[in-house]
Order: sequence, then structure tokens, then C-alpha cells
Amino acid sequence: MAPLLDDPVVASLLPSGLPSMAMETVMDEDTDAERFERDALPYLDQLYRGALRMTRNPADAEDLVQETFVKAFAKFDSFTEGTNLKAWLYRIMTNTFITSYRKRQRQPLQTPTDELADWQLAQTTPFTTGEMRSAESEALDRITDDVVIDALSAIPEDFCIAVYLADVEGFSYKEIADIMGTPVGTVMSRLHRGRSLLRNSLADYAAERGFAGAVETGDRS
Amino acid sequence: MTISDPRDCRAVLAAVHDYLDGEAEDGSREIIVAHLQACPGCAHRVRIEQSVRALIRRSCSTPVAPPSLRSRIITAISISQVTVTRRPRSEGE
Repeated sequence: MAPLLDDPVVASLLPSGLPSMAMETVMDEDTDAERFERDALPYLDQLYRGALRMTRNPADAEDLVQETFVKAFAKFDSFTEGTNLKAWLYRIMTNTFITSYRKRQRQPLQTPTDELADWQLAQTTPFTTGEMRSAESEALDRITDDVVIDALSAIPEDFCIAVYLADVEGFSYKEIADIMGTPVGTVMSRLHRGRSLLRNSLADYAAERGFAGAVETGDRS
Repeated sequence: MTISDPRDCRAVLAAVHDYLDGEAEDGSREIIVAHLQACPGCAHRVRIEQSVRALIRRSCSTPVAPPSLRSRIITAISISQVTVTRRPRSEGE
């Protein structure tokens, strides 16, 4: 482990009363902090953006990210090197958000169950939003970021998190299932419902604003 | 999701989500691609799906974390280390 410190000559040069084990521990801790700063901190911006979508406000997002990194550092030795560090950090953050932040929020529409959100989908079958016309997909591109963010904030939280992890972070179904602590089937269902709601609200927005008005030829009955 | 009938738009569209997420089952990728090439209606719907995904990705690509957050985290981490190695100071010190 530390053959140098076991050498009687070297040991005699050490301050008396300082056990070599303590020295080793201190050195290990420094290395951990450096390794953590080098490997984990580069995900700061990504985690902050994810936290913004979860908490929906910058002050809570900052606190959530800080808490996430402190927790992650405390159990950094349980992280298996070579596995997905970003997914590991997201799992800690999502867990922290669900267990502490979500409870603090008082909006009545928070934490609807997967079943409760069904009424929102009742009138909207996937892919049948009034038969979007080709210009409508171009019209979607004209929608500004803040409108998309509002649409994301308006869908149930679990759907929003699943969509964010898939579309923005590019995690696989399996990784999202690990991060959110749910079966893969639940992830797929949340993604499907979340995307349907988003697609419909964004298409409605585009239609209301007349982005797609010019090509509405009366097919919608 | 397996596609029962390669000509059935509903069956193909049901599998399209997995395909767009890069999770298509073996064999269904080719069926979907072939169907979309032959069916303008489905191809259009898939384009809208892709537009919505691109829109979400674009809208969530900003902002960066405030610089103060980075220093707050580094401080919090070093404090958590010190807490482990040193006894807390008594009050009034």
C-alpha cells in the first residue's frame, strides 16, 4: 500500500505520534476531491438545467444542484468507475428532488399520478391532433424557447422529467428507469403521454398564433 | 415493440417512438424505414415528432449555471471534508 511509509528511515522523519495510516487517509481524501472536481463538476451546467426543469425556479434549482453534488461527493467511492457518471448524478438529483423538494412545493397540480393525467389525454389520441399539415411542422420551429418551457412546465412533473431525460439528455429507457426508480414500462408510458401532451399544446399554440393558419384548408372538422 | 403488419400505419406508428429513441427492436428498424419511404402520411407525422423533440432539446440547451454556484459547491464539499476530519469548534471561539 504505502511501502515508503513503512520504511523505518522514512518513518523516523515523520512527525512523531502521527500514525502512517492517518497520513494515508488524508492523502486519499485529497485525491477523491480532485477526482470528483475533475470528473463530476463538469456536469454542473447540465444538472443545473435539469434542476431548473424539475424545480421550475432558479433559487431552488441552485440548492438542489448543490445538495446533489454534496451527496454525490459523500458517496463517491460507491460510484463504479467506468459506468455512466452523469446518470449516477441524475439519479441522486432526481431522488433528492422527489424526496425533499417535491414535498415543499404547494402547487395543487404537482404530483398527479400517471392515472390522474389521463383526463388531459382523453380528447387527444396520439398522432391525430387534427391532422397536422406539413407547414405545421415548420410552424413548430418558429415557437420560441419560453413557450416550450411553459408547455413543459404545464405537463405532469413525472412526464416532464422523463421527457427531459430522454430528449435533452439522451438517456436510454433503462437508464431513465434507474434514475427515476420505476420500471421501464412506466418510463415508456410517461414518455408517450408527455410527448403527446407537448405535441398537442405546441401545435395548438402554433395554430392559435396563425403560424399554420395559411395552410389550414378546412380538413379539421 | 414488434410490428405485426409492415403495411399497417397504426402498428408502424406505435413502434416509431422506440425507433426515434434509438430503442427499436431488431428487424423493426428496417420495416419502419421502408414504411416511411412509401407512406407520406406517416412520414409527415414522424417529422412532427422529430420537430417536437428538436424543439425541446433546443429550448433546454440554456442557461449555464451561475458562476457563484460552482464556488458554492466547491466550498460545500471542502466543508463536508473538514467536518469529517476535524471536531466542530465550540461556540464563542
